[in-house]
Amino acid sequence: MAIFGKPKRDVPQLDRQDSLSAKPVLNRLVKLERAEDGNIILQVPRRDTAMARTVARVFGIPPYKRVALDELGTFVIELCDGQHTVREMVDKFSKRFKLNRREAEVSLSTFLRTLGRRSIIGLVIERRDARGR
Amino acid sequence: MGVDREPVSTKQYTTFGWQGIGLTVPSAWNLVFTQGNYEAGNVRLADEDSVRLEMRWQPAERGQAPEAMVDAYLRRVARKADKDRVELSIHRGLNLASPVGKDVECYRWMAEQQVLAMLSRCRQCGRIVHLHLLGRPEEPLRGLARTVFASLDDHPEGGVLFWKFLDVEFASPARLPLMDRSLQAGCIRMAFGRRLLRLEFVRASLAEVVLARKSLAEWFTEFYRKQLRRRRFEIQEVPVRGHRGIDVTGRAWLLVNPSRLFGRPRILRAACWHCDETNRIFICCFDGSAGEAAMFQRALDGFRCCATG
Repeated sequence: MAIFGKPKRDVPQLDRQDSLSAKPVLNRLVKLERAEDGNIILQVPRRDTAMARTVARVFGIPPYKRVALDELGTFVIELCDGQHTVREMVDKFSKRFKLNRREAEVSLSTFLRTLGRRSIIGLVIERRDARGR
Repeated sequence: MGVDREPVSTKQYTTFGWQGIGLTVPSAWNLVFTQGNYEAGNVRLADEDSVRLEMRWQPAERGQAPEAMVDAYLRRVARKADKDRVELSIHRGLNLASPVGKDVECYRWMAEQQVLAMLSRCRQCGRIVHLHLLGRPEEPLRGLARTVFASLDDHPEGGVLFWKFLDVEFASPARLPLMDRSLQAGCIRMAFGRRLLRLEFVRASLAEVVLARKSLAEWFTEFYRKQLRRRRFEIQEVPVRGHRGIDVTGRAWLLVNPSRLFGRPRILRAACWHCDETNRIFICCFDGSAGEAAMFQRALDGFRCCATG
């Protein structure tokens, strides 16, 4: 436990089965926009701190960042609806783009990790009871 | 809680080839780790859940029998089990496979997981190959072990090494060692050769996305920007292996290749094609002396992209 400042929260460690069974879901604060080519542009809100608001006011920066996705990213984001597990997403991604399953899993996991780090998505993980069900 | 694995009888099998060693393995297994070279190294294959096969190879030491090597290995396993305070059981002399032309010993050990293993020494080339098939303690592995172990092939045939992994399949000349490899999701690149000679096989995925914005020739020129520097080259659109492709010929500038004046020019030959069926781009590229260029066509003929190509 930290002596000064906020106590550190224990981040739950996920094993491989938990990671593949998790269901990614889009952050409700992130807005989706369609570009002319049909790909998605994410509007990700900036951090809402006093400093960020001041800088935005002074420099006229909009309160959100725009992240333009390509065809692959659009396909993945459309599946982040809280209904599809990561395993199902890997299967669909592999079939749609004709990738080897391992390639699909590695690329998708990396992309989801990046989205999670930027708080664009979260993961819904079902708890197991004491008997592992 | 473990995940139920598909029973052996319903599995589909494919061939795996790496550094001249071939095996029949379930098609759901993929290469996840490689290390070493032709002389000694190891690879691991995994399914969706965990590592299923570990394969190690090394040259045989004079007079070293497979049994003695298994003794040494099992002593290490026993020491580790002691240290981890885990119960270990060992069964040796199992009758799992006896591939032709090899001295083998098959055994099983069980601790937190079950391992069925075979150590093989080839009587022809002397290569030692040590295979470990991993599974849960209660999992029936014998049938799978028999299929995998009996299929072992451990040296080149006809002067070529057969490679097959991650949906890539080609044959390289046995005399050219693997000098560079890049196994990234989306692009696999394997380069063989020695000083002033390079034979490369490339497979790039997501071709429809890549080629939506540029032509195959533009993509190739960008991909091989470094190799094409200081060369005069020509690109022709031709069908390659029944697919839309390009043929590239190039020659190094005289300043870079003065031996051209003595009848020893260095040339670049490449074939690049887009396979619609697999949504991939393939490249076979030769960079070396004109006298050795015949290996390019043989390499291209052995580089498979799909069932028809």
